[in-house]
Amino acid sequence: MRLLTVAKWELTRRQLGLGKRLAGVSVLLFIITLLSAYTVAQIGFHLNDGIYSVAVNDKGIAAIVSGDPKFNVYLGDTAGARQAFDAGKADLLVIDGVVSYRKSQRSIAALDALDRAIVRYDEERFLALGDLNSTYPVRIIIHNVNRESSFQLPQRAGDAAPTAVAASTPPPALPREQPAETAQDELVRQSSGARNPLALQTFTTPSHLAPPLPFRSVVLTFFFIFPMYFVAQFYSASIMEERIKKRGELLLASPVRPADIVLGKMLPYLLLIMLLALGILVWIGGTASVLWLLLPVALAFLSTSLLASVLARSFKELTFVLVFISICLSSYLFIPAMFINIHAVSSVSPMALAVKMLEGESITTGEYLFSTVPLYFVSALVIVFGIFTFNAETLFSQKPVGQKLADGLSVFMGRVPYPLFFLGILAIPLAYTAQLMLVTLLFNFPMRFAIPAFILLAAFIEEFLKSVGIYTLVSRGRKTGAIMPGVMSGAGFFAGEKMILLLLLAPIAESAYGSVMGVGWLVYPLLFSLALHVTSACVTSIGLKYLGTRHYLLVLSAASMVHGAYNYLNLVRSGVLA
Amino acid sequence: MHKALVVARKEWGSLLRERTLILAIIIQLFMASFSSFVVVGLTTFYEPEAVGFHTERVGAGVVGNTSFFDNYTRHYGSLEKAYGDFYSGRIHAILTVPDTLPSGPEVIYIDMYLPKSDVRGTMAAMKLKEPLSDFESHARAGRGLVPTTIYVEGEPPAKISLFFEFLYGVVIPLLVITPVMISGGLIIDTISEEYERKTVDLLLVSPLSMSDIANGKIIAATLIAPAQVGIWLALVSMNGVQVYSIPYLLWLSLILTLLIVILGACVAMHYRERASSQYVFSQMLVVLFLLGAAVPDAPLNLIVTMASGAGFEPVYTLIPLVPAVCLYVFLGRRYMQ
Repeated sequence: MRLLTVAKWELTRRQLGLGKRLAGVSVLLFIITLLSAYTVAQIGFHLNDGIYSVAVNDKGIAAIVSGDPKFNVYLGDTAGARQAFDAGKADLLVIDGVVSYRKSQRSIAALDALDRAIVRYDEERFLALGDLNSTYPVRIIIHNVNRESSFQLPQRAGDAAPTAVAASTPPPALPREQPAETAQDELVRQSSGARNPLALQTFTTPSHLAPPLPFRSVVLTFFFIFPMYFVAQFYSASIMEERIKKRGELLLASPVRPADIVLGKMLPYLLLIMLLALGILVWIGGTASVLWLLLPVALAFLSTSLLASVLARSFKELTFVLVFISICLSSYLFIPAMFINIHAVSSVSPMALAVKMLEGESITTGEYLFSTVPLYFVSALVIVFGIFTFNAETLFSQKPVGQKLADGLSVFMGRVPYPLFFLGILAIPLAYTAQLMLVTLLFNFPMRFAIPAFILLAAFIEEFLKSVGIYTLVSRGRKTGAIMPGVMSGAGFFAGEKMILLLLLAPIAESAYGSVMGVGWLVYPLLFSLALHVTSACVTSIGLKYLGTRHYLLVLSAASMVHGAYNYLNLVRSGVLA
Repeated sequence: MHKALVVARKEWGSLLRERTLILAIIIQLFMASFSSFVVVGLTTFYEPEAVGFHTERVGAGVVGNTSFFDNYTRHYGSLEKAYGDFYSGRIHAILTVPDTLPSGPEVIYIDMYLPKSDVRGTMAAMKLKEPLSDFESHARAGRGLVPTTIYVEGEPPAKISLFFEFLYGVVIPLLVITPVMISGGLIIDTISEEYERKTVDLLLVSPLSMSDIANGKIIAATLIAPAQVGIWLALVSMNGVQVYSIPYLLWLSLILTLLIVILGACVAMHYRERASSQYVFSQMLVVLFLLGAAVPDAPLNLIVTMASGAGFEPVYTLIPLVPAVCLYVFLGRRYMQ
């Protein structure tokens, strides 16, 4: 109830930091933004104007090329055009329909761009004749067929009908209804026992054949994220204000607990985000269930801004940390969204699923959990940590960020029994999210580079998280044994991994990535995994005890090597890696 | 002026102490690595050769009485046989071409089978785009629509225009603009912090005047961006990307930063509070960015033509100075008295 009091106070007294002063300006700026967005939509982007230049002696070609603002055109007689080209004023030379180019990148790119410009010009010219069937004499019907791939989210028995993928931009004004004869072929093929049910199909023509990248929907989902940046800013400003005006001191002295303050202040901002998202959803016309995908995203933004505003020493630092967090979160959310139709692992990002829903498809409960549970966990963890650090000492001192983090950790370790064990468990969602981020970064590289890189980096992430507690103990000069901390932290990590990851990662457990992340539990006995985590954590604890914290990075690398080598051998043994 | 420089030096000192500069560089590293990830990811589909990816290994098959695709695909007698290779992963796309005459009046429907959510299928489909487009031109010609043709001297080179336009038209402008915007955020933070922590009163009882403080902060924030841009362009060049007209790019980034920083100073001195100022300022940046991307010869377009080595008009770099000077005069009259 105290939580609600704080929330009400934040809403009515502080008016979320917006106040009357900003209300008018906000509306004005919003209108101006809309107007300029409209203007841009009308005249298009002109970033690349004049990036290429071409010298021609033919008026016809000159007219075609001038239609593309990317080109600067020099029209002259044969000698004049050649002179301009030789003097380096033009990237391409077109004499009587024959193109010359240079060996430079720009010139080669210009040649390709010229080709595209001509194809576009021809299409417009043919369309103007009004004969659609002759303009598009060839039509491609794309069928997306289910095939076992090395990395695929398995369809559960209940989700019988696979949904359609691949929507390339259809050419303008092309009839989209299915021609009768292919519909018949389709039926014949399916009833004659073709091996797989075929997905829905899409039309395209050869020159419009494009990778199924959902540009439009990705832009639409950006509208959801955009208000989150701003609202999160106001939330962190509110926390920062408590710190600077020392009002937080009064609050902390009152019977309200830090948890009530932190959560109570967060609640109105969370509601505001969800309200804005709902409004946008109504505007662009989507189903309300998209909101369930936005909730963990909003929590991730708010929780990280909370931590940033508790830890930052100055406004500058706060801004930089917030920008950094937004960039990390946005790339985690949007990069997979671009590739949702191309690679199954893209569904790690809730925004990728939102794109899917905006494209009119449905998602499964498994997919929802797969993409959102890690975000929920990480947000919860960050909020809890923010609450631990929400005390007078951290709020009103000017210690460096790393120092404050260590302070928060030692508060945690002082309050919990078997702290290293529990820290190990809590590290799991962080490790999981960081490793998924790695997967999204690496999945597009050739497997022979991606897998070794992933093995090493994933081991490093796990060893780092396991070592955090041990590091705190050693750096605070606590008396510790050499083996015990390693055993505790390794065992905790093992326990957490088996409890949480097994439930979550069942979908990708059988793939190469999954078994590196330690979930291929069917492949090797559980005992080995426990031994691994304990051994590598002991490397850290022994190293830190006898070499001291100065050689932290060295010790950590040694532990990662042990861990990585084990994972590598295991992959080879189980035959995932040849 | 001397006093302003003292303030500027103090600002730099605190930036170095708080390691905010390091964070700024990490931010840019992230931006660069993610944008190049997206660029490489996208080009792998559109122009595999541009990023050194060879598509020989993503095979495709064709079924039908046609030899049009034989240079690109394996020919199969029946769909069943093609399916066999498709499921065993030897090919990643199947085309079935009907017996419809290419020159006839009827529409030709080609079926394309692709594996669902598989990168290789997308790559195989994109590999087929070229023969399919040739087939389309052939069929159009058969229906009396003759395409415009040009001939290339010698062997036609790989297609790289999208990659080129991404690199010079998106990544490099982004890297040049980010430090400019960061400097804008910086001036707001340093000015509003003085007001919110009430340290501005202490500064004003010292021999510093309001304009010394503001000028000092403006100088500090403005000079950081071109330095960052310079480091960046050097890094990009070391990576083998040829960036042209670097002195002009630095000069343009200096002038742009001056404009953005003065704008930020106006906003911060008006609201005297961080959250409101940052909010209003970032909204303004969105508008400026949108309009800047839509107008030819605006600074963003200038960055592209400069960096890519196309011709540009150096005089245009001076245009942002006009609003900058106007805003500065306004700032002096309104907020520095």
